[in-house]
Amino acid sequence: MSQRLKIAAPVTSLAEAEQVLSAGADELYFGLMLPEWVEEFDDADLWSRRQGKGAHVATLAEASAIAEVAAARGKLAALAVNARFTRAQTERVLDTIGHWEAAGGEAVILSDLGILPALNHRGSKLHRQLSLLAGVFNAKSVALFASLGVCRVILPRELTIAEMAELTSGAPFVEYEALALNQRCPFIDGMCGFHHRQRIPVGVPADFEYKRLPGRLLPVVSSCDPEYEGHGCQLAWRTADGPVQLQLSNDFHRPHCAACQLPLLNKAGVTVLKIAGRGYPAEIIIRAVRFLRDVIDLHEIYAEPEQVRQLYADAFGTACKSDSCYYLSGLDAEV
Amino acid sequence: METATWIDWRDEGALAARYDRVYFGHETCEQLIPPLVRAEEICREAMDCGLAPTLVVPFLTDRGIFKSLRLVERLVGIVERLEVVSSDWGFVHELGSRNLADPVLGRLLTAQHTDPRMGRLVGTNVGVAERRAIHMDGTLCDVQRRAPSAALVEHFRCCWIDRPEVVALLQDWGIYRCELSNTLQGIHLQAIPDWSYSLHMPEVLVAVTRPRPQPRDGVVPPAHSPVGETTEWTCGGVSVPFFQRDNALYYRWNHEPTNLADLPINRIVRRE
Repeated sequence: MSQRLKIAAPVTSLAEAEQVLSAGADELYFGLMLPEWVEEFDDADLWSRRQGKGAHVATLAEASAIAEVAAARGKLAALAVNARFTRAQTERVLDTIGHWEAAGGEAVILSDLGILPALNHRGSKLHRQLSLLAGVFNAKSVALFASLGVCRVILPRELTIAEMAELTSGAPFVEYEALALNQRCPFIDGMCGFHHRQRIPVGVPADFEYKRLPGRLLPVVSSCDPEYEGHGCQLAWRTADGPVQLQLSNDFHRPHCAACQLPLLNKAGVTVLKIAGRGYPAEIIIRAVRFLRDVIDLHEIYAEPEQVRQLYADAFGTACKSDSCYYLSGLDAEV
Repeated sequence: METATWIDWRDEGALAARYDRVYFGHETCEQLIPPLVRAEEICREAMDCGLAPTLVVPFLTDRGIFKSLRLVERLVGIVERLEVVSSDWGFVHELGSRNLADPVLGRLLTAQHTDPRMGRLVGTNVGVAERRAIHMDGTLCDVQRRAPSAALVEHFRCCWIDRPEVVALLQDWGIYRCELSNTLQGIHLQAIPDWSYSLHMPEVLVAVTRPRPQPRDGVVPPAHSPVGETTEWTCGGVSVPFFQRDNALYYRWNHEPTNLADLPINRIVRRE
C-alpha cells in the first residue's frame, strides 16, 4: 500500500479510549452530550446524528481526559458535532466546541456549513474533518469545503471506489477517510430525514435510563416518543399486497466490511479507515480495531482475498458474504 | 404566490398553462437527469406556454457534474433565464460563482426532519397507551411520555438553513432560494431579507438510496427501471404510507401549513 492506513475508532468513555488505543487504533472519535443539551433537545440524534446518552461522553472533563490520553500516545481524538443545527442550537454548539478546544481537543467532525466560517471567525485551530453527512460526492464540493477550512473529508459510503479515485485526484489537497467496518445503512447518511432515538421495547429487556419517583410504585422511563419503533431503515415494511419485510443487518456477528478492498481504497487516495458503531459495546469496537489492524499488516506484506476472509471468519466467528462488502455494488460495473 | 408544476421528463404530455413555472430533471439520481434533446424540448414547450423553466439536479459525482454543466450551458442558450435547483454543494456553488444560471438550494441539502413520526413527537395532545418496559437489570418500569421542550418542537419545524449567517454565505455564492418539503409536523421559518423558500406539495422527501433498495423476494420492482413506478410502504405505527419512486422514499402531505401566510414561502411546487 502506498501510504500506511490509519484506523479511526469510536469511543464513549475514557476507559474505552485506553482499551481501543491499546488494541491498535490510530485515532479516536466520539460525541459529547452534555446534560443541559439533553434537558432542552433530548437525547435523540440532534447533536451528532447518534442517539442516546450511552453513545456519547457525558462531561467535558472526560472528553478532555480522552484527548490527553490520545495525545500522550501521539494520536488524534476528534469530537463529532456532525448534525446540522438550527438557530436555537448554534451558540451552544459553538460554545461547546470552544470549550473542547480550550480543554486540549485537537479535532472536530462537522457537517454544518454555518459552523465552519464561525470557527474560522473565532480563530479556532481545530483540525476540521467533514462528516459524511455533508454528502460530498465530487471534487468541486471538496474544494468548496476546503476553502472553508476543512482538512479531511469523510467520503460517503455510497461512492464506488472508482468514483472515490476520481474525486480524490480532482482534489488532492485534503486527507480522505472512508468507512471500513459496520453500519452500512441503505439510506444515504446526509440525505435521510428519519429520526433516530432510543427505542423502549415492550417485553424485551433493554438498556435505558429510569428514575424512581416519589409516590410511584414502579420506576419510570420517559421519552418524547415512547412508541418510537426504530430507525427508518429498521422498520418492518410491506407493499400493498405483499408480505411483511424486514431489512436485517448484524454488525455483531457479520459486519459490513471493506477489508478485502483496503489496497484499492488506499490507491484511491483514502488514508484513514473509519470503524462505525458509536455506542456499540467496547469489546465489539476492540475486536473491530484488532481485525482491521491485522488486515492492514497482512496487506502490507501481500494478501490473497482468501487470507483476508479467513481473518474475518476468525474475528467474527462467521464467514463473510458478498452482501457484507462495503464497496461492492452493481454501480461498480458502470464506472 | 408563484405556482409551479413538477413534471417527470420521462412522461409525454402537454404542460399545464395554469402554472407559472415548470420543474423538470431529477432530484435524487444522476442517472436520471434528462438527455439534452429532451431537456431542450421541455424548455421550448415551457416558453411556448409562458412557463419559466427550472432544471432540477441531484447530488453528483464528478462525472455527473460534467454532464450537468454541459446540460446547463446548452439550456441557457435557449431560454431567457434558467433556474437550477441543485442538491449538490459543488454544483450549486459553481453555478453561482460562474453566474451561469439562477442557482437554488435543493431539498437534499436542507436536512429537514421528514420522518412522519415527527407529527406524533411534537403533538400536544398525544395519547399514549399504558405500557411497561423491562430494563436489562431486570427492573420493571412504567413508560411515560415526556412533553418535548418548546425549543425541540421549534427545531423539528424549522431547518438549519434558516440562520442569518448561513443565508449570508449562500447569498455570497449567488443563491437566494431554497426548496423545502411540506412536513406534517408543520413549518416555522423566520424572514431574512432577499431570501425565500419554495414549498413542495404533496410529496415529502424522506430518504434516498444509491442504488434503489434491493428487491426482496421479488416484491419490490428491480432497480434502475426507466420509469418511476410506485410502491406503497406501510410501517407499523406510522400514520402515513411511504412510497418509493426511483431511488427515494416519500410520503404525501397535502395540508397547507396553517401559518403559510406568515412564512417566507413565495412559491408552491406541486407534483400531480
